[in-house]
Amino acid sequence: MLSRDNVVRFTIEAILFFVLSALAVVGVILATNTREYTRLQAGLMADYADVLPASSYTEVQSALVEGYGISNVYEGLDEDGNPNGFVVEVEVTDHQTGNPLNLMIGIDYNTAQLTGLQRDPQDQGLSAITDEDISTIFNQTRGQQIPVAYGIQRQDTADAAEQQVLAGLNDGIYYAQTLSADRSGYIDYVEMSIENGMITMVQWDAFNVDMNIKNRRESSLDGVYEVAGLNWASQSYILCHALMDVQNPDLLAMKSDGTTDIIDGVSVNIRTFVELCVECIENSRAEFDKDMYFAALREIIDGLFEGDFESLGVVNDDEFIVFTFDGYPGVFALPDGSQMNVRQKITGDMSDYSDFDSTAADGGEQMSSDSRGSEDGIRTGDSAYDADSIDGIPMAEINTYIDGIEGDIMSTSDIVSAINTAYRFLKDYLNWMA
Amino acid sequence: MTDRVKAPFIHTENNDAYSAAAHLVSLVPAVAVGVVFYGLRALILIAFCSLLFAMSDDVCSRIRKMSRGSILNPLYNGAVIALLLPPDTPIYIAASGVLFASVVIRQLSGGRGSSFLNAACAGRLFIRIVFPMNEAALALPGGDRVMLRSLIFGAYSPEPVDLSQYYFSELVAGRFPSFIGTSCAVILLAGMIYLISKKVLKPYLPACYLGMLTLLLLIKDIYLGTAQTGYFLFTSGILFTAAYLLFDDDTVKSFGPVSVIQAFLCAALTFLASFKMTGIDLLVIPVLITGILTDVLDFSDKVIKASAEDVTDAES
Repeated sequence: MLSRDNVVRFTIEAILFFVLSALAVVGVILATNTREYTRLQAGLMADYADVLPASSYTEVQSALVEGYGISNVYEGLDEDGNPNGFVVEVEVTDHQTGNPLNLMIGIDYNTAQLTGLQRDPQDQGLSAITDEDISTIFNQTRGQQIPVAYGIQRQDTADAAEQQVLAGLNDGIYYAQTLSADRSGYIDYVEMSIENGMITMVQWDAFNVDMNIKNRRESSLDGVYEVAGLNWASQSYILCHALMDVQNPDLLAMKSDGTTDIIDGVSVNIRTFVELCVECIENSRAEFDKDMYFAALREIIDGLFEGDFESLGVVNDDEFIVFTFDGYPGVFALPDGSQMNVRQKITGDMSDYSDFDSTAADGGEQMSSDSRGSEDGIRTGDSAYDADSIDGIPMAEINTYIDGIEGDIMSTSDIVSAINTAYRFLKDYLNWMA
Repeated sequence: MTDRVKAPFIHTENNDAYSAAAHLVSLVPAVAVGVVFYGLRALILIAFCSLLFAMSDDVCSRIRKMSRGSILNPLYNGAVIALLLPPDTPIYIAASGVLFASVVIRQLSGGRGSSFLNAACAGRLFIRIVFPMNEAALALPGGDRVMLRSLIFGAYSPEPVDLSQYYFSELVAGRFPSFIGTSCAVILLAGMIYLISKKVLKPYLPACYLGMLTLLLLIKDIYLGTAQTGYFLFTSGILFTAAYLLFDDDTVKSFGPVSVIQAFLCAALTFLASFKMTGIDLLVIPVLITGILTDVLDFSDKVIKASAEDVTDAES
């Protein structure tokens, strides 16, 4: 038997030992976190760099993954931490042998284009589909938007060419941010790329006046920033893509309460987004690009603090200028009580760039002004196309048509099916309509 | 000065219960590692195995009308079995190993101290044989710490990892897929030092075992032109063997020359086993063989000594 003293002593030692050991383990975990991250990224880079070039990869944790025959999904991020695409690992059945075929499919975040298609390193090589077959399909789909269909010709090519775009847009990257923070301390911003007079990329996010708080997109993915319905990051993504589809913020059909009914999955107030998009479009027309915007904002703040911008410490790690003009209401005020924006304040150019008439992409006839601001929806919903489907995807959604592997319909079908499985997953995951 | 607690003729407090308590406390760091790395399921497995071993031991002792002894030793053995399990082991598999160790090995061979095999090692080997699991694909440390479904349904078959891709610091920290309590070298050394400080483990025994094994591995590395010694020492779990398996009551009958031979013997067996075995086989089979051979050695030693005494008596 143990003496009472020993019982007490051993008990105290056990408790102390547990606490110290747990602290030591947590310590070594923290000390080796960087190593682990570096090792994991090196492994992912080796596997995925050819499929989707990215600076880093992060695993998508979603219950949806299991429902599609998908083994893993990774999101590729650029050097600034912004998403640039997805790598989806899909397992399909090779119908010639009945064996599984594991493929890695890379998809660009902004354009939904196929960036890579390869056999997964985990594939056991039981399928009759060769690397040459996969390569043939990839050569036909490289840089093309998914989903994909084969052996049929697209009938609405001519219609697609008549996508409506805004007139007078100059190519470049344009930017606008709100001049005051919202109730949660977030300053919204929109960044817009314009190529060949068309909006090709839109990003809506917000950084916080408290620089220790992550941006709104990350916070929503972490579950810290919550909104009704889908998480905010997904809603932002859907909204940005909807704008890329319609090319005109007026066609997002914002209602008087700031919401819209015509974009599935978007329930947040989009007023700030629309206003910032309008500002970006006006900046594009005035050839006032992102660099000029930042320089202008800096100059305005510099003027407020008599050339003391550097000492304010208002530039965050992502190089955004974290400054709210809430305490300086007169800075952007016009004599008539209306407000200027950053471009107008710095250039003094009060010209009206807000004509939102649309023209066809080929410079043809103007879009009817009757549709501006209406709530009649984005999609036309041609029932002739909606009736047929491939891999469960309506033909109306198919973006790319290929010839496939000559004389091998089954292999073509299996590989295309894998690509379309990735599409269906991403569509559900992001409530995505490419 | 006379000790107020102990009788004057007792010169040491290192009795059976004290030794068992020290062993049990020495497991605390390994338990902490298991809980931090694998969460609630590891804690439940450890607690379940310990309590089941203690209950089984108690019931068996009552049935056999034998002295029940300290509860601490069966708690220790149950915890050792749990720490040697994959983190995603279902609870019924753990229970089978514990009951095999407690009822078959320990009781049928005469109870604690009389057993010719390390009960925990035998229990774990039983699980390995009867319920073979893919021990090349264990759960990653630091995953879902509140997940409990594996206690019923088992592992979800994680992908095997290539440990050669890990940084050395990660291996030392134990941040690689492993059994619940065998990975973190720093923590296992802390447990070993605790046992030595409590005088229930002689420092030269683990030193002999680890020293001999390291020497053999270095010779192998030099001969083959490889550099696997450090990798082996930190990933195979042999530090757990040195701290908790090899020098328990059942395997080491007494400290002295026989125990040193035993340490060398186990090191040699582990080295030979490393050519063909991995995972749990490498940890427990050399210990079990050493235990059997040690009994033979011990018996031979006593026979020789008895014969020598007989000769001396006859001469006198």
